[in-house]
Amino acid sequence: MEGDCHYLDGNLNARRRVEHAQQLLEQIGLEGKRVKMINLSSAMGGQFASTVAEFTEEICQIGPNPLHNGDDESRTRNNVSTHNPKTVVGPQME
Amino acid sequence: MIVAEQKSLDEIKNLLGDGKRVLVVGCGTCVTVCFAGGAKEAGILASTLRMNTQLNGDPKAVTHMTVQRQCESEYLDTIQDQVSEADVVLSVGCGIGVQALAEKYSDALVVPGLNTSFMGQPLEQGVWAERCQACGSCVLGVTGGICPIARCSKQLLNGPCGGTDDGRCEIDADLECAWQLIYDKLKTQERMHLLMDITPPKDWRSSRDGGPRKIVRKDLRLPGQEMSNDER
Repeated sequence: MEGDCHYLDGNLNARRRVEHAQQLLEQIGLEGKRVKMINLSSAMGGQFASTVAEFTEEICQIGPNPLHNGDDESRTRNNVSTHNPKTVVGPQME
Repeated sequence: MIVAEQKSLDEIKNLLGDGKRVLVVGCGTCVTVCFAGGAKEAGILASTLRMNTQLNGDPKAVTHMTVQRQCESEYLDTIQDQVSEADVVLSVGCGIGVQALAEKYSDALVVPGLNTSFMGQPLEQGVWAERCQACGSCVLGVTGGICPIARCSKQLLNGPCGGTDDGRCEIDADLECAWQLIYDKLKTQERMHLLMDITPPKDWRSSRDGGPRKIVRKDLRLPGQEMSNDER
């Protein structure tokens, strides 16, 4: 499956990016194994279901995200998207 | 372009010190192209710092912005309010961007998030290589467009040295011998006669050996601008 992607080497590129995301999580102090990549085709529904069930077990064993205690206030405080990132295109000259 | 790499998170956190409000400033030019300090990297670094400092019990409020060109003062006008609200400004521009920010906002504490590495060229996806050392006296016209200053480990002007080995450099076998490349290129161009000319010792005063450099173009100066001693 790996390297045998509809987008040619797309799943190989994706794997490197997932590994980078895992490294970022480790750097932050979270568990890198909170992110996982597997390769499946659309004809592998049964394997997809069992893989998701296994990953759910793994995630439950790791425990909840310590940055999110479940209440709405915490969610707002920690949510990256609330920080309003902004890109300035230029010096805004008239 | 200028190529840079992000510092380690530990070093960045040390530079931030006790500052609680951090503004990460990205740059939309060279460091965007080399994936070190563009809008995407500034955002990821800001998120990383927010989450990491919160996990460590010393949460920082980290925001981020990206200007199109951090090395020019005019482009920094747009972030004046955000800079004034920050305890520390973490620049993920090149060393020029960091200094431009620190000079424009002299009251702000500006620290670098990147190590500026070299002037180079992307060879392929994810690979950059040094191509210019800004020596101030370009010799590419007689070396087949291959720079012996930036690409020869010994900066030889009449190479190759005795350490060239099957087209590789004795300093690092992964490095191509610049003078082998020059030889091959001039041969292809049928300009081998250029190699018969002995290049005299280089005048390094145009490089860093002459101290920090400055270019003044009188034709571009504006009326009313005070003439410095250099221009007179």
